[in-house]
Amino acid sequence: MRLTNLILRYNIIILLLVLVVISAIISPYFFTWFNLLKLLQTASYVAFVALGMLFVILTGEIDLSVGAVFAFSGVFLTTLTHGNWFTYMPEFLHPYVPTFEFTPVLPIQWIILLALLVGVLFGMVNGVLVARFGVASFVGSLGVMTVARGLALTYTGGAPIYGQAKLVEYLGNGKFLGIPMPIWLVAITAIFLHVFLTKTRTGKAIIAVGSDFEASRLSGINVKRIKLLVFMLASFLAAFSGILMCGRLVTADPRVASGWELDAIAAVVIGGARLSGGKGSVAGTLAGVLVLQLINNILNLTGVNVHFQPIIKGIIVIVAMVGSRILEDKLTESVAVESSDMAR
Amino acid sequence: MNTTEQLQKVGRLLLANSQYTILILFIVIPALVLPQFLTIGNITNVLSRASFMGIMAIGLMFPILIGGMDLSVANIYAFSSLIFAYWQHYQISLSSYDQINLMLPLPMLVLLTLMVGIGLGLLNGVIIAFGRIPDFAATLGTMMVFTGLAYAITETRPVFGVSEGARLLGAGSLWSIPIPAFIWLAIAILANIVLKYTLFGRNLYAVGVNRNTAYHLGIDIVRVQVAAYTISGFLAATAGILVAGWLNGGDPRVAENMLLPTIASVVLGGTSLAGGKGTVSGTITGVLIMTFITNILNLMGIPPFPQQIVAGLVIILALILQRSQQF
Amino acid sequence: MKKTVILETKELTKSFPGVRALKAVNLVIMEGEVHCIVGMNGAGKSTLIKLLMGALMPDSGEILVEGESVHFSTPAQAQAKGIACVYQELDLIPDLDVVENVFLNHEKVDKGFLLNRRAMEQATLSLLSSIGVSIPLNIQVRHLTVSERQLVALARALSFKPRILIMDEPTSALSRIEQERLFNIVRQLRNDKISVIYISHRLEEILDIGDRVTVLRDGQLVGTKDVNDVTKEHIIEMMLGRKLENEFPERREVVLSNINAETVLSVRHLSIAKKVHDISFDLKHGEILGFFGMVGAGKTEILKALVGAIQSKGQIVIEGKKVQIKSPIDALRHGIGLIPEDRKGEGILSELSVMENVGIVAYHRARRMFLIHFQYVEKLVQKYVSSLDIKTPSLRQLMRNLSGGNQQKAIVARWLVERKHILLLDEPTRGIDVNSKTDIYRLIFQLAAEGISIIVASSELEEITRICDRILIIYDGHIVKEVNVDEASDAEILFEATGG
Repeated sequence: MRLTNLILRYNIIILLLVLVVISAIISPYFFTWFNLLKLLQTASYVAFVALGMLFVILTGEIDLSVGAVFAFSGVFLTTLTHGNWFTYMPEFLHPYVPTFEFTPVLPIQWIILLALLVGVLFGMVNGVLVARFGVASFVGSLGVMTVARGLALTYTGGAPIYGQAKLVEYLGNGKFLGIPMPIWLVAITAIFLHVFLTKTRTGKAIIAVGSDFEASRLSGINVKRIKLLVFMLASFLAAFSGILMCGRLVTADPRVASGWELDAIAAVVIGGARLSGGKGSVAGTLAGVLVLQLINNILNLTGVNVHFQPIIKGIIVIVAMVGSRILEDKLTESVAVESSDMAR
Repeated sequence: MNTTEQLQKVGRLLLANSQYTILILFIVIPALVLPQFLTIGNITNVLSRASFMGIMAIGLMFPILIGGMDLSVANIYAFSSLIFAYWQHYQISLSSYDQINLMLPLPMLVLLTLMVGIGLGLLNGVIIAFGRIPDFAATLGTMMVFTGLAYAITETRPVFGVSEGARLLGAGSLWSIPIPAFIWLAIAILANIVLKYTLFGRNLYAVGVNRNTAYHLGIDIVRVQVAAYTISGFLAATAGILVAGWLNGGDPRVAENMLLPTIASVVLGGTSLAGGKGTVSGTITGVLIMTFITNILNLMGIPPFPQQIVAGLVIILALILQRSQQF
Repeated sequence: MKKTVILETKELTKSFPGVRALKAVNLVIMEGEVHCIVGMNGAGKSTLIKLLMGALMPDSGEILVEGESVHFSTPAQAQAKGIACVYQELDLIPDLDVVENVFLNHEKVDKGFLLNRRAMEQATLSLLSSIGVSIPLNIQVRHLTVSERQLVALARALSFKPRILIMDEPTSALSRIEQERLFNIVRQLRNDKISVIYISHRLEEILDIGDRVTVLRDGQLVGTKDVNDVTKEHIIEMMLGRKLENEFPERREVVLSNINAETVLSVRHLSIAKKVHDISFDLKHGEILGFFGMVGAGKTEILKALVGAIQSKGQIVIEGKKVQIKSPIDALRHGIGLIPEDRKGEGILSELSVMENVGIVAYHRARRMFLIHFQYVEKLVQKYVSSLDIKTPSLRQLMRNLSGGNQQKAIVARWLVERKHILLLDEPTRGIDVNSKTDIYRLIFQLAAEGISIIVASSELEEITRICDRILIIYDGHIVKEVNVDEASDAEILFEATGG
């Protein structure tokens, strides 16, 4: 009984360990620095998106627009880096003039800031639709997603743009103390977000809003502001990750990250979060991202057809959900017993 | 005085049924401005395109009406289109056109494919009802599984060519109205009857409005849930069979860019994602709106990428309009 | 000594679509007094609290705190002015622990933004011990019992160090000892010059600890009296706007032959984990059996277990046959219908029409082939809607637009349309107006006379003693006593129900 509780409580960690062992058995190269760092770096881009999604899910909402915002912020950044605000608009608006020269419209730091700002703006639209107009976040963010993806494609005429500024390349693919920048950045972000969620007033308010909306309102929490905030945070992280991805690929691809919103949701869910809000953790989400990444890695190493990968991922999502449901039932039971014992 | 009152009344009526108002605007304005719009060719084109999504949207309504969600419909649709085309060949060659060889009569094949759709839908229902996990997460999982299955069957290759009979089903027309549109209409009528006049239909609404009340009334929630997802799978497979005929083959990629517009059209049709509210006629309207947006933008000569921006904006505006009428 | 006015409302008015919830209320609260507010359900008490707390905005009128006009648009502003509230539907967050709940949205922070958990734990500990309870601090509120939650909510309200404390039905889930402790806290607060606005419908409590009492009726302030100047009867008359007599219809003759009537339902050793312990009782043909106990005593759980809505152990025998009831589907098959306590959450289908709400149970036998014969259902429903005097413009009206009383009548009507021979009613008249109450009591009598066996669970003593033939007193999941209605005094019953 105790053992099963323990297994259920740390199910993600156990799953992760099992996957690591499998990987090590399958491939002698798994534990090489090269492979581990590559694995973590690849996982870090989705990790940002998933962390943002976690906060949205904590309030009981969903954000489908993150993948598209990811793509657009990269495209926007790159367009500006190449010396134009609107160069890549379709021909009937503006002639398509490919430039490979770097004549940034602004200093690159400003461009990055601007790209982040644009990302946050999409988050604001999501937040306003949900908090002000009461639109269901699922469809509201679906509309925003369509717009953002459309903008990304329109900006480049559907083609990728090559060439990035040095700073962006360094952020997305450079190394610091031998470890790729994205890993550093995701680690710092995760620590920051963990502290934010567990040790600040706003963090508690986010959990409260997802756990019981009306009670939060009566407690004096500005519930609309909280919802707006989480959508802005999710978009900000997506945009940031999109910029890093540009550096990694040295390319802005308007089709990048399509379907990532669902991967991110899957990672958050595998990480033990409750879809209706109020429960979830930063560490769990990171573990969820790693689980998905390891599965990809194992399947790649074993040479299984890439197209089988979603099957395994899907099964894991379902199993993880059922597992955490059983866990919650059991915990409720055992804690209830404890508390009544203590009261006596 | 009298006329202003009447005008106000008409205005309220239009606002209260915003989806129909939007549809009428989407027909009347382009009809006046775009000469190609009201041609038989164009309307036929729109109708057959709308039919596939329309049939699927009616299916998707059932889970949404009980406050659930089926993210796997588009993948059931793609999977069944692929398997239906696949089964029309004895062997899949690597040439561009696969040899057609019906080992079973076509009706049997249709039946088998429908069974596949029912089976996948049933699987969704069973996972949700007996695993007691959120619909969204469960179907997110099965969506990935079905995607993988579709890709795995032919190793991502599309299947080229279907038999004459299957072509007729998906691409044929009667009195210059496409066959899929007839099927869509028939399904819509049937779905309307089921939702409005059968015990199952009313139980579906009861569960969607308030699951606890429904439970205390002795409604078998598990059965309602499983049935809703099964119907969703069944209708997705129906649409899959038709689209295989229309495309003259099966392609796992037809799932792409199909799920979210279908959900959007159900919601635009006035169905509440919280459950318990929605009509078949609304859903049909939503699907037509979604299809007309693309069609009108095409006719206006706007390239596909900016079209997405406009489509997204229209969805957002329609949602805001829909919400504000409730206050 | 002249006391100062701390809170005042002037012509406070609030309307909801179709309802005037508050009409020009002028309320005056003195510093350091316990000011009780009473009124029937729907009299406007909750609306008044929400206006004072900034959870709602008034349509007109104003609120003055120490003579200064304030306009609260969120509860945070009210809290900043020193007003705190213990809500009846507790404003606690199930996923946060005790400390986090006590300090939600006014957490102690150090170094600018990080939470100071230790300081909050200490403060919570001292708050809880000042109330005289010990609850583990790190436990999620979802795992606490209702009375523990009530005390945590009180600790939360006190943590604001309020000058005005609003308490909405604070004793409804407390045991007698806990109540006594609560009264001591209230007296302590009064000594500390804190004003308490105390809302309750237990008039004894009000006479016990109140200084002044204000009566609301239909959204209007009927009057404010000094507690020493009024009697219980006087307050009731003010609440009702008329004499008390006609609330309960003429008591039916308790048919003594009932004692010999056959047993319809017999329950043996029914237990529900941690809630109900080894309960046995019999229900006779045509009998009205009452379950009396405080909120949280386990009445609701027993009724739910009887229809299989919650898991239980034990034996249920219906008309001599042992039956397994695993879910309401089974219950229906065996002829048991339940009208749940939580009308909004479990009783009505708010977004469907009145006709569907009443007729839904009859659909299965109103089918021709596969299709429901709606004209038949409509005729059936119409009959009961008019005989029960359910006020609705048409049968097509959505259920949510009906008043609470009419909603309740409608869901009782369900089980008239589809007769069951055992009917369980959980708090059948909670939150509904006097006229509807009378209608429902009449209906219960009528059904019993027709041979339907009825269990009524209620925490309103008067209701139980006036309509039931036999009463089982429930305390902490046990049947502590069985009384025949004419044998025991009210005081005796109440004594047993609050733990003896």
